[in-house]
Amino acid sequence: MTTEFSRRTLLAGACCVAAAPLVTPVSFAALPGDRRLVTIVLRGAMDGLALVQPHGDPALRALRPKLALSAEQGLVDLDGFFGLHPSAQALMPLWRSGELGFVHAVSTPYRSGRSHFDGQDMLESGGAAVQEERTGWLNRAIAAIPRSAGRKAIDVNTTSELILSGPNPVDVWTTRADLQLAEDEQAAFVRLYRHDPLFAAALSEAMETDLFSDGIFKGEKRGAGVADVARLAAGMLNGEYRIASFSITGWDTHIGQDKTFERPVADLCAAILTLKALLAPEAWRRTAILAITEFGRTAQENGSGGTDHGTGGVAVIAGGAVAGGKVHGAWPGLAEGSLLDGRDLAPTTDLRQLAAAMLYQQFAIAARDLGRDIFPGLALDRSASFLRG
Amino acid sequence: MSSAAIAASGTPAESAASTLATIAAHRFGYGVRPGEAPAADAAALIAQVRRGVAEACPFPYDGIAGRRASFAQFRALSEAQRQARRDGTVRLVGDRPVNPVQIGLAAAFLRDQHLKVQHAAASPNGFFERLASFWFNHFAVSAAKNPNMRLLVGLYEAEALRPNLAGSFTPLLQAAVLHPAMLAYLDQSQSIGPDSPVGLDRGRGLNENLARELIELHTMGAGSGYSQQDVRAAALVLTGLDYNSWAFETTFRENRAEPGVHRVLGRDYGGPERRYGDVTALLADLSGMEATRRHICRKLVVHFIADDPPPEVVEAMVATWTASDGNLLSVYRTMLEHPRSWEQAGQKARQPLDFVVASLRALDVPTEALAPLPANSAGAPAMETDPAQMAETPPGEADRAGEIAPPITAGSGSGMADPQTVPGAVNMAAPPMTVAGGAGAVMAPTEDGRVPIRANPFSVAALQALGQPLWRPPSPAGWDEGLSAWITASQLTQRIGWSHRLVARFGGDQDPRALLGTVLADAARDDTIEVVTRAPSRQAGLALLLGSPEFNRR
Repeated sequence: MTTEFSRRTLLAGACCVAAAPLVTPVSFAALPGDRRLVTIVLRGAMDGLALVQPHGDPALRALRPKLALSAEQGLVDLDGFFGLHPSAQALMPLWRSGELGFVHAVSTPYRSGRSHFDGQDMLESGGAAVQEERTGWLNRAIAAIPRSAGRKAIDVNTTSELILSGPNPVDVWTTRADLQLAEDEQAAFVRLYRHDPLFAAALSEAMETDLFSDGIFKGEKRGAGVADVARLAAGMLNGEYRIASFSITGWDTHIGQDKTFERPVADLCAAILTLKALLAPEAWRRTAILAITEFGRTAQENGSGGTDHGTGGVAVIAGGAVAGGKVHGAWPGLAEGSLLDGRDLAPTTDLRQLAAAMLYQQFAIAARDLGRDIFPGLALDRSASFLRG
Repeated sequence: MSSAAIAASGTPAESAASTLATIAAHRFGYGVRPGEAPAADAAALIAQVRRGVAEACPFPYDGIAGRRASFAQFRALSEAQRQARRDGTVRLVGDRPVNPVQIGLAAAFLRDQHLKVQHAAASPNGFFERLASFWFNHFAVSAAKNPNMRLLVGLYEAEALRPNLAGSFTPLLQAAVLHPAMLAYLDQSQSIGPDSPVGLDRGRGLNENLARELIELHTMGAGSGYSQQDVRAAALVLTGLDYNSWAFETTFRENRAEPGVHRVLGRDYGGPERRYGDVTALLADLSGMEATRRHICRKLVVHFIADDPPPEVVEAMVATWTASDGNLLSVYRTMLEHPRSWEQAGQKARQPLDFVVASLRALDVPTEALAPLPANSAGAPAMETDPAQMAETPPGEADRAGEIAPPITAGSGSGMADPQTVPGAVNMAAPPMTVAGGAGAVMAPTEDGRVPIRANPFSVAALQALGQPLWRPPSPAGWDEGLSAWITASQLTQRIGWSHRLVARFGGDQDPRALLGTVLADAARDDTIEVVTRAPSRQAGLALLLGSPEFNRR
């Protein structure tokens, strides 16, 4: 009975699950302009001055005697002025191939409150003020994508995060969502739901997606680490999904930052490199990864060898579709008179411009939609160096 | 057993066969618990509310007075940690700094959360427990706002909401809106009258957050005829309202209150001297508005009966509200006595809290099995990195902590533990580790510097895994009410997976057919009876029962 739902039949019919999406019999390669966007929310305020260090700025060493690194200490020079933290060394091949870039001195319009909660609220909602917007900018963007019917977004999580929350459909999956039903039991569930269309549809989609993620994990242990999350995202993006979002935490480095910074940077590298390794080459070429944080950290290191909540920070862009090999953004300088409130890196780029540029280039969302529904009041800067046509 | 056909719309076409006791348990309660006396009519449900209001609330774990006493301990710990930071003597485990404040807060919150789930599952007053969750969602606050909120959220439900659920609406509104948890959640401490002494001195201004939610969510409802000017004027009336840090007592600071008279919806509040009474007068007037009655009666019917609520039930409740001056018990009674409230079963989805509690009740899971679990032994990582927790645990500004941000709920078992390896529950009568300070003692970090307890995969961690972490709604508007929001592919996957683990551990040798008769009774459909009866194993049969549409609808 119900052979169309039999797991074995489906498996037999799709020997290469990850390469042949079952859900929609459309090969993504055949869709014109079939681009992907991955947002990674770096929660806790990533220290941009530590990740991408302006070693060419004469004020840096005085502000950060412990945290500013020299080439001898492993800092990897990027362009003669900026250097990459040694913990991110694994990303250098991407930098050299033009698939990794940074935007420095970037910030949302959030100022002076320095609360993680409110800062993340603004980062994810895309509003110009705290609690101005109730839904996530990435969710609102879905409705504005031309021919968006076939596109789906995925939140790799158990609870939908604000950035993808809103009226437009988003699937929330976790690496551990696994039906794990024997064939007879699966048939029983199909029978159980056959006269309840809502449940029947949900189960049918669950079985399809489950097969898909089974293919992604191929029977291996499903962890909940960043590499597992990125692996699930890559598998889904190889399939029918076009937008994915997840978070990396651990950036709130008030104490002993020389050590505490390493783990989250390693996570960020693992996320980007897993996506690179597991996305099909033609998908990677059309993918933009945008890693953003709620605000930067103080220019000066504190008495505990860490840094406190600041303003201007760094955004990371990666993937075959970004303008890589460059540290974008006007450099405001770290001299005393240049710092915001005498303590923070002064923002020169509105983070919403960067997010809008990614939506514009990846999904051809009209500038008027970007400035009206997605980032209210924002006028897209088409001359931004990080914008690729 | 009879069965109701499911119409093409996906809702049962007729359920006249279901008895009142079945509908009462599913629609108005937390489901059937074998052996518990059923409530079969409005009077029995109303009696549950009376009993619920009168009984002592089991959370916070240290009691209401005990929790207030523990604030001082947390304050002392917090000051000690700040000093340690200055002195460079912060405790390190390896390279990782340990913050006992954050760990104490995480443990306290976990204990409160578990007690809430345990109580919901054990209580014979299901309608009261459901109402408590409804009102928490109506007056939503979230423990994710800042670290200290983890001490306040359970306290808020216990002292502001539960004792006030059967009286008039006005005292409930005042208790909820004026509680420090709400003032913190909606940033009232940051709202300063621009022309008040503090406002003039510091150049800080108004925050309209609380005023907007008070009108839009708590009382009148969106689009009910107020203007932005009313919101702003209400925000001016609310200036001065604040709470003392670490004492968490609501205060009125005149030097922050905007002087003068402020007109909200045609009524004037204030004067040359601003008083706390201005705030309570505004709340009383808002609670008496026609729009407020309509908004709340409709919301009750939407929550309990149908996304598209039968208007005659709402109208009857509004009339009762008017006649009884907002007596909530009378309003509930009118809902329960209306015949339309007992028709068309299964139009709503059980949300995860409802589903988890109903499942625990169906399997008669003992309360002791639902306590927090001891953290993993030293050496092993206590938590895996779970992105869900990452999202939910913004390290807070209050303690400027974040040297370590322990997940609010533990991860390694978040609903996914191998049922054979779940270790014994922590005996809460004797907390494993405490610091000096008596009954309300703060739990100290483990030897390896982590939270000493973790969330039980069958209660608190299950809610996290199912996307409805307890006391952490996504916004001031609370959780989504819609049927389709909760019956999705990922949700079903998680529910089916969790049900399997639950029955593997607690299903015992129960006969699925017998349990079907007890739990679903006359609500069982033919498909469910057939599938459960023919299930390949007892465990599969029980999982199918918990996965059935009748069990996931209400």
